[in-house]
Amino acid sequence: MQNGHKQVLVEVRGLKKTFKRKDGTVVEAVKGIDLDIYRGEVFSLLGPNGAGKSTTISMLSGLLSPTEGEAKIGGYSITTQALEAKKLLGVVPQEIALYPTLSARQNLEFFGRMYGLHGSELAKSVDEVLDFIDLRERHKDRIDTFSGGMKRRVNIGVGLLHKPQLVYMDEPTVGVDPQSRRRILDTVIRLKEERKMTVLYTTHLMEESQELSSRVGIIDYGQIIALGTVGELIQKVGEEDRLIFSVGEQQVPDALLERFRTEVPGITSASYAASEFTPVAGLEDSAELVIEKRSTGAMRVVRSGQVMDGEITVHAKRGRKALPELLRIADEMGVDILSVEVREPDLEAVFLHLTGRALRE
Amino acid sequence: MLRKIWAIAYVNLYQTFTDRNLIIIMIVTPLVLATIISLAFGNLGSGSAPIQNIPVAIVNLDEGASGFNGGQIMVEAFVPPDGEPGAPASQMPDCPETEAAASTAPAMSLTDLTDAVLLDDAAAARAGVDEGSYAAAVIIPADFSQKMSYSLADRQVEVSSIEVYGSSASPISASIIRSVVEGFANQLLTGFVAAQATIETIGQQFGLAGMGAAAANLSQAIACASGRTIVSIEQQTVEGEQADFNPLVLFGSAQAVFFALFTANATAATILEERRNGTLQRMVISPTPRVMILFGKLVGTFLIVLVQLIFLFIGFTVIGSLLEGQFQSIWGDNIIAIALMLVATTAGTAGVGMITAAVGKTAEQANIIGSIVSILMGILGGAFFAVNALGDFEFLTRLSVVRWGSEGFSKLAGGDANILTNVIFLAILGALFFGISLLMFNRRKDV
Repeated sequence: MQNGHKQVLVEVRGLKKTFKRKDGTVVEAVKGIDLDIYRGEVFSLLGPNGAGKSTTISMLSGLLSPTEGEAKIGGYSITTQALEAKKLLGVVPQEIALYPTLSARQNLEFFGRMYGLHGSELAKSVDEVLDFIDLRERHKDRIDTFSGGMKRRVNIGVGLLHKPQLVYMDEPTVGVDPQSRRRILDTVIRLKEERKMTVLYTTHLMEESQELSSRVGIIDYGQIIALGTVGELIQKVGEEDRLIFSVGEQQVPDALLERFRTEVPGITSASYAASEFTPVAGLEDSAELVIEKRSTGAMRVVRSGQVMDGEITVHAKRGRKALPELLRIADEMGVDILSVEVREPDLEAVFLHLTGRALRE
Repeated sequence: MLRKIWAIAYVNLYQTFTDRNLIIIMIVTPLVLATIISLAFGNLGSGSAPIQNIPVAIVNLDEGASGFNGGQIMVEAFVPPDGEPGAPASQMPDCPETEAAASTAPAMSLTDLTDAVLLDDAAAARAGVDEGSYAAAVIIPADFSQKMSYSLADRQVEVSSIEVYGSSASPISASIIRSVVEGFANQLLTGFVAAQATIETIGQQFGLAGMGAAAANLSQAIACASGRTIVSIEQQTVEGEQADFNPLVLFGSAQAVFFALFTANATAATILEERRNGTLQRMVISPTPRVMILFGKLVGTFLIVLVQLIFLFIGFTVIGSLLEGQFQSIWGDNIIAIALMLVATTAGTAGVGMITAAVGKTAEQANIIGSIVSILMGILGGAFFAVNALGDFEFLTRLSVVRWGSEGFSKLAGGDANILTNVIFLAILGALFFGISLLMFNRRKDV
C-alpha cells in the first residue's frame, strides 16, 4: 500500500485488546489503535508505563490475539496469515529471552533455525549478527557469563538473524547502564541507515524517542493521542521555547520584564524568581549549609551567604530569534545577564500538554 | 518443519545432559536406590517381611507309596485342617524343630505367608495363575512319594519333581513360593529317607537278609540328599520357561520408570519455564506453528527419558553382574521386546509429563503436580514395596505407568515375551495424554 511516495509496511486498524480479571471485571488495555508505519522509518510508540505499548507489540507479533481490529504486515494479516507475516518480522523483547546455559552462538543458531535458516546460510547469518553486535570474540561463551549489556546485545541480535523487514524493539534500554544504552541506540540508528530496516520502537523515555524516531505515536491509556514527526507534534500543541536568564544577586526591576513583554515580538510571558533557601534537614542549627531551590526547580546544597541566584524566565515563540533583542534591553536597563539557557520544546512538554501528566509519573 | 522440531528437542537434550546435577538425579540416584532396596529384599524371608497372603493353588496328584503320601503332608502344611495353625515355613512336618529355628521366634507360618487353595485340576491351577488369581500354582506329581522311596536295587533315591507354576506378573511372590516348596520338599525327603534307614538298620540288627548293605547305601543316599536338591523344583513362568528371579529386576525397573516419570515431568515443565524466561514467546513469534513447538517439546521429553531409561537398564545389568560376579543379562535375551518396552514406557511417561505440564499454570505448579503423580504411581507401581501388600486395593496398580512398565520388564526378565498388553497400554496412555495436553496448550491462545 502506498501513501504518497511512502510505502506502508504495517497497517493497524481498530486494534483492541481486553483482559478479563479474576473478579470478572474487564480491562481495556488497548482501546482501538489506528496506525500506519512506513517502510524504512523508525517509528516510536511513546507512553508511560502501562499505556499499552507492550500489549500492542504483543498483538502485532502474534503473542496475543486481538479482541477486535486487524493489523497487516507487508500485506499479510497477523491473524489469518500469521506465519507469512511473522517471516517479515524480528522482535526484540523487553526482557532478556535467551537460554542462559547455551552460548551466544548456540542461542543465535537455535533461533535462526526457528526462522527456517540452516546450513551455511545459518552460519553466515550468525557470523554477521555476531559482528553487528560486536560479540564475535565471545561467541562460544555461555550467556550466563555475560554482562547485562552483552546479554542485551545478543537479545537484539536474535531479532535480526533472518534479516527481517521490520523489527519490533520493546523498551530495549530498560535497566541498562548508560554505556550499553548508548550502544543500543546506535544499533537502532545503524539498523535504519545500514540495513534499511523499519523499526517499531517503544519507550517511555522522551529523549530516546526524540533522537531515534522518524515519527512518534504518543500512547496513553491504550489510545494513540498524538501522531506525527517530533516537529509536527510540538507544532501541534503550540509549545514555546523557554529562555532562562541567570542574573545572580542583582535586583530586577519590573520595568525590565514589562519591556520584554511589550517590545520584543513573540514574547508571551516574562517573570523573575529568586532562589529559595531552606535549612538542610538535621542541620537546622548550623547556618553553614542550606538547600537552594532555583526557580527552574533545580536544587543544590550551598554554603549560606553564597550566591543568591535569581532568574528571569521568558517564554517565546521563537526564542533564539528574540535573544539578541532581549539582551540589548537588559543591558539598557543595567542588568547584567550572567548566563542564558534556551530550552526548546520537547516531547515531554507535548505529553504534559496533552495529558496534564509527566511521562515518568 | 522436522528441522524445527529437532532443534527444539535438541536444546532440551543439550540442556539436560550438560547439567551434572540433573544426570546424578536422573541416573545415579535410581541406580543406588534400587540396589539398596533390592539388597534389603534379601531379608524378606524374615518375619518382618511385608509380603503375606500370597494366593497359591495347590494341586496334589501324589498317589503315595508304601503307606506314605509326601504330597498330602505338603498340602496340610499349606492348607491345614480348620482350627489348626499352619506349619512354620522353616519347619518340616516330621522333623523336630531345629535349635536355630526355635530361637527365631515368632516364625511366620505358611498360612500367614500364603493364602492357599486346594484344587484337583493342574490345568485349572495354571489357568488361575495366567488369569492373575494366583501368584503361583504348586503341582505335586502322582509319583512324588514313589520316586522318593529308596530303591534297594538301584541304591539311590530318584529325582522327583514338583512344579511351581509362577506368574511373571508377581515374580517376588512366585519366588517365595518356590523357595518355600523347595525347602519343604528337601526336609520331607531327608525325613523320609532317614525313617527308611532306621527301618533298614533295625532289620540288620535283627538279622534280616540284605539289610546291612542297604543301610550302607542308604547312608550314602542321605549324604547325597544333604548336598543337593533331590526333589527338584521347577519354577515356571506362564510360558513354561525356567527362570531365576532377581529382585533388581523388579525394583530396578520400578525405580527406573518412577524416575523416568520425574524426568518427563520436569522436562515437559520446561515449556512453562520457557514461557517465564521469554524463550517460548520467541518461538511463538517465529514462523513456527504452535503445534510444532509442542511436538518439539514432546520429542525432547521422549528422547531424554529414553536415554535415561537405556542408561538405567544398562546400569542395572552392570550392577546385577557385579553382585553375581559374572555377566548376567538380567532383563532377558529378547532385545527387540526390551527395546519395545523401553519405547512404550518412554511414551507413557512422556505423556504423563506433558499432561502435568499442561495442567500446571507455572513451572513450579507443574513440578508439584508432577511429583505427586509420580510418587502415587511409584507407590502403586511397586517402586518402594511389592504391590501384593496392597491386598484388596491391588487393582489400583493398574492405573500406574510404573506398574505397567516394571511388570513388562519383569516378564521379559522371566523369559515371558507376552508384553503386548503392557506395550499397548503404555503407548495408548502416552498418545492420549499428549493429545489432551496439546488441546490444553492450544486453548491458551495468549502466551
